[in-house]
Amino acid sequence: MHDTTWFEVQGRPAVFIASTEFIDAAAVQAQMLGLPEVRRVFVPHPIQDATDDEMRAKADAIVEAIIDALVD
Amino acid sequence: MTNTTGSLYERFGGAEGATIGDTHLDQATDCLDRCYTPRTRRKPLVTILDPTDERTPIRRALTARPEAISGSVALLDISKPRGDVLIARLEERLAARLPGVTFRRYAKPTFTKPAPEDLRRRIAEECNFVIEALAD
Repeated sequence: MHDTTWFEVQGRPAVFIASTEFIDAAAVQAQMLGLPEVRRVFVPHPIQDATDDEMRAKADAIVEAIIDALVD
Repeated sequence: MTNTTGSLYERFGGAEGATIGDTHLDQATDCLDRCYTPRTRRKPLVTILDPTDERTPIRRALTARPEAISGSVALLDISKPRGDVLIARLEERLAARLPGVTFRRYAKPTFTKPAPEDLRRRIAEECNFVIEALAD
C-alpha cells in the first residue's frame, strides 16, 4: 500500500489487489498513510494453495472492479 | 529459597526488603551491572521507548481520475508466489477489455518492503496508471 499511496501522490491513479485476509489490515494501514480511500480490490483467500485455474478465476472476477477503481 | 535483596536495591538506591530467588538475583545483578556504570550509577543506560506511533498522518487525497483508461498501465507484481498467475490473467483480460491501452509488467525485488525508489520513478515516468498485486 505504500507504493500505491506513493503513485497517487505522484498523480498516477493506482489500485492494489490483495486477498480478503487483508481487508481489515488494509483499512488500518490506509488510515495511517493518510489516504483512507486508497483504492483496493480483494480476491477470495486462500492464494498460496490455489490452482492456476482458481487464480485465473479470481482475476476474471475483478476485472471490472479494477477498471472502476482507476476511473472517475 | 530466597535472598534478601536489600543490598542490591540499596546499591542502586531502591527499597530494601524485597526477596527473589537465587537464580533470579544473579540474573538481576548481571543485568543491572550491564545497565549501570560507576559514573552513571543511578542513571540507566537503557532507554525504553514507546513503540506506538502517536503522530497524526499527513492527510492525502486521491489523484483525480479520468473518465476512461488510456495510455499505459503498469502491472506491478509484488513478487509473492501465485501473484504472477493472477497478473498474467489480468493483463490478458484487461487488454481485451481496453483495446489501445498498453500494459507494462514490473516486479518488485521483494514483497517485504516498498518498491525501490528508482523502480517507482521509472513506473511513474512510463505509465499513467498502476495496478499492484498480489498481497495475501
